[in-house]
Amino acid sequence: MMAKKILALFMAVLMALSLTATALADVVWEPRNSFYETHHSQCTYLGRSYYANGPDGFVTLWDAPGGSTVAAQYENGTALSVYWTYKNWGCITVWEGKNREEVSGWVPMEQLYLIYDHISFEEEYGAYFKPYDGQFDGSGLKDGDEIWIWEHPLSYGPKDTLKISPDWDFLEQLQGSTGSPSAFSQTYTDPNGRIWGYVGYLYGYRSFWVLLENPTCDGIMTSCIPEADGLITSGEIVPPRTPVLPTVSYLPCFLVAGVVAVTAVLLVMMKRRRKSS
Amino acid sequence: MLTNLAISLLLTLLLEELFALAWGLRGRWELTMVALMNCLTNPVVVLLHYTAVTLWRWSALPVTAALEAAAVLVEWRCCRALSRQLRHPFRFALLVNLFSYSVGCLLNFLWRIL
Repeated sequence: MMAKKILALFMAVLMALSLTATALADVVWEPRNSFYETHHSQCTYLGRSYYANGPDGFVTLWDAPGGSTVAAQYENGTALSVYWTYKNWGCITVWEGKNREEVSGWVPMEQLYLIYDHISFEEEYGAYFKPYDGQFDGSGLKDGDEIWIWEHPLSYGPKDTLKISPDWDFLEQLQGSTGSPSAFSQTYTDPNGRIWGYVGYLYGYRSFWVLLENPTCDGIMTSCIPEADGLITSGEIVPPRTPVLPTVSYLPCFLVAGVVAVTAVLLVMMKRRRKSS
Repeated sequence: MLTNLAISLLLTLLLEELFALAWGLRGRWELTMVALMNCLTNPVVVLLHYTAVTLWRWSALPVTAALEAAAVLVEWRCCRALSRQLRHPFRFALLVNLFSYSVGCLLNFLWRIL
């Protein structure tokens, strides 16, 4: 009896300890994926976004490259971030639901369509970049104003904003008035003659562009880069379809059903033997 | 997935057999019963949990609670029908599942941080 009480007490402590488990985060995102965890030395960091573009109108994320278990499925045109690659497979992570639960899985890179980003922009227009030469003024900005930051000067819209406030010296960092050089490193002049400044890193914000003469972007319109809908219409992306589970993903179900059936038979045999004895 | 199913089943078998021994169960009959009732419930619970939570995005807490409760009920019925030694089969089924679930959570946590 005492042994059972000690066991129960031990379990109560164990239950309490199991509730202390917390999530860990790092600067470079590392997915909770068993294949990644065992092969991370052979994986290469990518950190770029793609549209799903599977031949059947959706992509299937697998538990491992060439795996047999489906982690998730997404219709074509869904924007997905590939953080790591292994051979010709990309490891995608999506945070789902209101609890932002992580879903990570692997998909062949040929089933993804690269979203035009700051790297694409640099590859196409890098020859026209010039070193930053103090063009950003910002003296007209006041607390509460928001500086729009863009993935690249051809984006449909800003990817975020930097809110001017006494708590953050965004403005000073961009102006270079804190004793250190301005956060801007390069500029690009668009076909409308507007000058954009590029920032590699500022307080956690990475690789963005700011319209130097109008940083709050009052009344401007940009973009010649089509988004998913335009790419689907033009045939660059296969039209989306409701995902269907692949046949191979039923293998675990058949195996489990087999184990359960055999076990049930053995239990019934045990029961009969007990009755007869 | 198949690896996860195998690891989960082997770990649960080990933990629940140890728990059964600590509970005072002895003999091949009782320990076989414990092993078989785990083979009956564990793979189904792991597969359904994965399907509901990972694929269908159902909330993990109610899914886990419902599946564990179902496992306890099935194991209780097995114990009641087959055991020659258990005087409180429901209490045993409840505690053995709480034990294996808690240790599983802790091992999972340790695996991630180490």
